Amino acid sequence: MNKILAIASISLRTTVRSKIVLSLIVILMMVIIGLPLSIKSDATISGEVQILVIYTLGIVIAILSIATLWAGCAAISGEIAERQIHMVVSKPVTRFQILLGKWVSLVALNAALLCVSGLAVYGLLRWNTRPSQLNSEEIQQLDEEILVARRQIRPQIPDVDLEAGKTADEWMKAPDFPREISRADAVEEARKTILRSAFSVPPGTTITWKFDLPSGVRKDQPFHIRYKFASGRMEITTIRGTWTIGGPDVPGRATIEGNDTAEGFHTMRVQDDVFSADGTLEVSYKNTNDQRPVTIFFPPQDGISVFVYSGGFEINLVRTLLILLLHLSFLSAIGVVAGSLFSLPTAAFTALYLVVLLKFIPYIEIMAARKSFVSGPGQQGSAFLDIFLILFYRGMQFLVSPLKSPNPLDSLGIGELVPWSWVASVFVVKVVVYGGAIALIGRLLFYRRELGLPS
Amino acid sequence: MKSFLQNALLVLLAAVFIAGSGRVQQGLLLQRTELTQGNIAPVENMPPWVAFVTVALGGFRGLIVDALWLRATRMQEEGRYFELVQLSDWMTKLEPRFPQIWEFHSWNLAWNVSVLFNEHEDRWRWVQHGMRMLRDEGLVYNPGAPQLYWALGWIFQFKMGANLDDAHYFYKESWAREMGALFDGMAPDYEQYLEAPDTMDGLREDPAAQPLIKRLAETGITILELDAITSSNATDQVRELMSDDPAAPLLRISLKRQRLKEVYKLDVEKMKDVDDAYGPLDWRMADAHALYWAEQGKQHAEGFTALSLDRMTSQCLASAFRVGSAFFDIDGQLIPSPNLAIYQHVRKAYLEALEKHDNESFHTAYENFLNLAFNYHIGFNRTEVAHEIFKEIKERYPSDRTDSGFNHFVATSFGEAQRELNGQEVRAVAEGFIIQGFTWYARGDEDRYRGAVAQATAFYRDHRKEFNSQSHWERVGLPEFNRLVFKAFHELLDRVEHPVARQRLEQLQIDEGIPDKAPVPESLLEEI
Repeated sequence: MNKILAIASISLRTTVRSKIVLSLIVILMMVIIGLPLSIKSDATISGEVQILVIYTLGIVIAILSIATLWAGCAAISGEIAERQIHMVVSKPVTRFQILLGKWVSLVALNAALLCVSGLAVYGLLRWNTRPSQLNSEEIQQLDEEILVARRQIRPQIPDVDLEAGKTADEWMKAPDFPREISRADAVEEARKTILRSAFSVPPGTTITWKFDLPSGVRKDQPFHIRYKFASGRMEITTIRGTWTIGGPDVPGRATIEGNDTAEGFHTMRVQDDVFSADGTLEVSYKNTNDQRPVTIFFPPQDGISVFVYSGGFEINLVRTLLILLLHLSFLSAIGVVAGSLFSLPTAAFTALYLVVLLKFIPYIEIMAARKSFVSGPGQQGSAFLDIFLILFYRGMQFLVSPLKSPNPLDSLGIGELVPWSWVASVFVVKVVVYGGAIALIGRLLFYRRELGLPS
Repeated sequence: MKSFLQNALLVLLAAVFIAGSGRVQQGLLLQRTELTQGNIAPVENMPPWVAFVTVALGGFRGLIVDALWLRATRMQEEGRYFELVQLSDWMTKLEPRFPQIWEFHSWNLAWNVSVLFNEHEDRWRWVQHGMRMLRDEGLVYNPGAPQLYWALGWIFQFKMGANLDDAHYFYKESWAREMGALFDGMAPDYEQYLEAPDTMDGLREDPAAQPLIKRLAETGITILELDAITSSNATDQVRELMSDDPAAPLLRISLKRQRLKEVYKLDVEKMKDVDDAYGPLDWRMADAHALYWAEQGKQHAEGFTALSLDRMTSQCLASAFRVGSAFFDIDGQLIPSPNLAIYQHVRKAYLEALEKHDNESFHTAYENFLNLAFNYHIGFNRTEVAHEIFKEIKERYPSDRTDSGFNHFVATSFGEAQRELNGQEVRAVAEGFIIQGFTWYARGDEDRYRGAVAQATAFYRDHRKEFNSQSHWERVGLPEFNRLVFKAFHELLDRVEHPVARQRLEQLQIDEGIPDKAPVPESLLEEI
């Protein structure tokens, strides 16, 4: 361990001496201070704050990612090119310790730079949202919806699997049912149809959702219900309805009249104690658009959510920065290993390719879900090519899908909780599993590399 | 020495090539202006970073735009609208000379995103984002792209001017308030505004304004801003200066003209041209602005876009005739009202269309317009013009109604169905006209009061003439006209709380000799 730390310390000192750190700090500060002056929000204070958080930290991470990849690639390849590595490998350290030492130095450097950037963004944020600049409504909105960590709770989804199976079987019995559709696809379609029906609200009817609240929810804090629906008739865009918050057994049950536009997201603030004794929350909506009756539909995936207070903004920011640091650590591993195997330009392109590949994970998943590439209904294609492509994309999906992870800045920016479990899962996947695998591959190949070749 | 000569020769050659390319560039730019669709001239005032990005990124700009577009779509689907302005800004700046991108994103913000909000203020903010994107930037980078003028006009014509959006009144009122702060009445006083400098440098150099500017500087106002010298925001000292100094109107008008030019991109000279051609237009209303942008676009348009802009002009004229005048109620609420002053322009536009397309649908449209114009002129007590319109209807589209004469035409002007009304209904309709008239009077529009009462009178008399028997009137419960007036007046007076409106009605009561409510026996009131 001491040897690893010694290598890390030497690398850090070299980096600091080369003024890279200073340059990076200057660039990051320029971005943090300059970017908010040049970006446009939707002209609301909440929009400005969200943009400030997401864009400034986003650009900081982009810069650090590029710098990390470059520095990682250069860490060992540069020493090999300049023959400095000969001095190091002649010391009583293993090559794996060299790799780890370089990686630790990059992680430490990123941690310091992220810490400085995070503090600067936080300071700027607090300066821009100082109470003297805002009215009470804006302060309340920021405190309750943006500069906070709220847990998003989705409603209980009825278990419709059994019903979906039965419906699919009924469909498949029909003589005109297309034979090429499998039962699994039919069940999935039936499931969606049943859910759509369950989340539809015809005129005069009521829909009720139940939300399981996590333990530890502070009931003295106001919470928000965010909802969105579609109108059954395009020409009717504003719908009247009555919201009832809380079940019949709840003394603080509240009724709120709504007149909302279809397709838009709307938020309702609830202050009352409307939670049931069993820790659930019941919310009902009655379609009262009597003058122009129309059925409305709440999408099951994002039609309605409850946001409850789960903590302060500061700790959420820390968790977000930790996730970003873990991501940078993963990039450092890629960079260092690539640099130990190839010359700087080749290593940089290889590392860049891997990073770009990670950005394409959603598309790889789409391709992997395809059942055929070269033949379609009524078409003849090469079965061999089909099998090859299917195996290729499924293999790719198997390899890279676990690395798919939403951007924590998107959650931080809208005041959504970034839980510790998220930090832990990123640590396990990106650092322990993938970082470890990359390190082992690097170790294996770096040991085989001939470092004393004449140029 | 040889090396020095070689280097010198290379530098010389480089200089010759650079100078040569500079000369060729001028010709190429001219050709580009002439030959590019929509006469897209090179932009001279492009911000450095936009110019840099468009050149430096080359073809990769498209890829970046694609990535941003995907994010924008996802953000919109997730209801995270706050990023859309910035993302749209980046996309348009990456492809600044691609009019369709400007058109799409401004449309998305002004039309699609705005309607996702409940609050009218929020909607208006998004409509403005879309409008500004075109007006303040899209047209700067693409001054020769007619579809952008059309898209901007479309926002004024339909998003703000029509009633497609639930918040259209809010848009109209907000716009009328913004414009109302920049000129008095319907339009700027062109003579005064055109004489006033339209730049800050021009104003500072104007000998007539210099002494006042100096005095304002002594009070601490060194940066001349309209808000700083207007009465609500100004200090007492400034307010005093601005009310006493003979140069104050010039200063005020110059600053207003500058704001029209810099913020709203309205050139007073061009406004005057549009007004001369189609006016007098009420520039507080959206239709006038749709007309303005359509006229600017026509200079660059050909083919289908030219036709679309022509249609925009005629539709806006018809709309401005119907609701193109801003009438402010006593509580400051905007009531869009007909702009009868542009009747001849609209008529001329219809007649020109009839000359081009002499078919039944155009004739039907023109007949409908004449009937509408007749009703409006009667409603506003403009009987002289109404007589002219009646004459034209009688000549072009004769019918039983026109044969029965002017008065009958007035009485039946709101529909043929009146013959089938019973006495109770006739009474209700006549009373409605009278109440409407008194309401307009209370709001300060005497013309409409007279028009409405004239309509009520004509309608009532026509019915009495049609069923000329005392027994019928008694049977159907149709009282004397003055009793209807009395009842309608007091019903309205009881409801009106606004002091100015009450004062006006009480004065009218004296002028018209409408009796007080008290002396009339309750039994009589019940009877009527």
